[in-house]
Amino acid sequence: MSVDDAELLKQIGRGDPAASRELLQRHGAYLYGVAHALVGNAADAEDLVQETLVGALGGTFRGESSLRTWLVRILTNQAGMLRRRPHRRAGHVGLDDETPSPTGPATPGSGVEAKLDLNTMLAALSLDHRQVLVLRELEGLSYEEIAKALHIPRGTVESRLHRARDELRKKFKGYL
Amino acid sequence: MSCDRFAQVHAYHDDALAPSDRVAIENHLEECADCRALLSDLCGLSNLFAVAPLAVLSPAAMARLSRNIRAARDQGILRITSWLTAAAAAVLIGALLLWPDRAGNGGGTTIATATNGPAPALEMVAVMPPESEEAVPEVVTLAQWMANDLSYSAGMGNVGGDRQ
Repeated sequence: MSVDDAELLKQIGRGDPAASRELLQRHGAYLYGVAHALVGNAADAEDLVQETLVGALGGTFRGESSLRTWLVRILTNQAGMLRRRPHRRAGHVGLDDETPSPTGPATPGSGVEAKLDLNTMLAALSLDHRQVLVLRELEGLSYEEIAKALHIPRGTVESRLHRARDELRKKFKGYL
Repeated sequence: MSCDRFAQVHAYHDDALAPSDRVAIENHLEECADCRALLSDLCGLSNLFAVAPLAVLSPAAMARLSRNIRAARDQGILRITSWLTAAAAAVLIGALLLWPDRAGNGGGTTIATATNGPAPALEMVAVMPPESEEAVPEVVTLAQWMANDLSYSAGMGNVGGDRQ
């Protein structure tokens, strides 16, 4: 019988290695997908997921959101810290990088049937803009929650969100 | 194409407006084509995000992550153990140095109490070097043993270096 996320965390807190593996199985793939869109390469994305999950194992989940949303919040913060590291592998693509390509041609007028992958959508944006978009569009966090997660004022959240969306509107006009 | 109420349209789309402001912007939307176009685009963007495929985590990367997370966790436990050992060593060495009756000839601690006046006004505690040299090698040996143990612990594990 599978346990819920809260129980899983309790088991991890008690030092159960099987529970840590289960956490990775449940959320690792999604976190990796989001991480890849945030940092733009497989190696950094993998590091980011590792740091997020290791951080989560020592953190306190208060149950104010779903576990996945809590993990994504940690991940977006870690992405900000990763940016400040000197050794960052900008633009590097790992050997087992399996970024999906758009499932349809990137031409105007295709509509939403031609799906854009998340990497393509976020590629042209700065990390600041990617962070707010991920937390708002993927996790549905409110402006206040995003401000708290990223340690920035609510007004900054709004302005980043507006600018990021303005860029996407121009870039992907044909998909809207 | 611009309207000074674009920010409110974003907030309306994100369900971040107070009820009274919602009514106001809904009325505005009926008469402002630019804001209607913006709202339509924002909905379109949200739909794109909702169906956008994510990069796929390969089985090899999943196995690497599992291994590295386990190693990082073990390293954390090891570090805590090292700290506890170091703390225990410090307490033990301190206790040996301050033990009053060590080697049967009084310890390295002298307590002098100034009793000028009706009540003790001041207590002075002075730590003196041990008079007996016999116990010093024991302390050095113990410290050496602790240091060796810590060096051995610190050399174990290699988190994050396992990317083949």
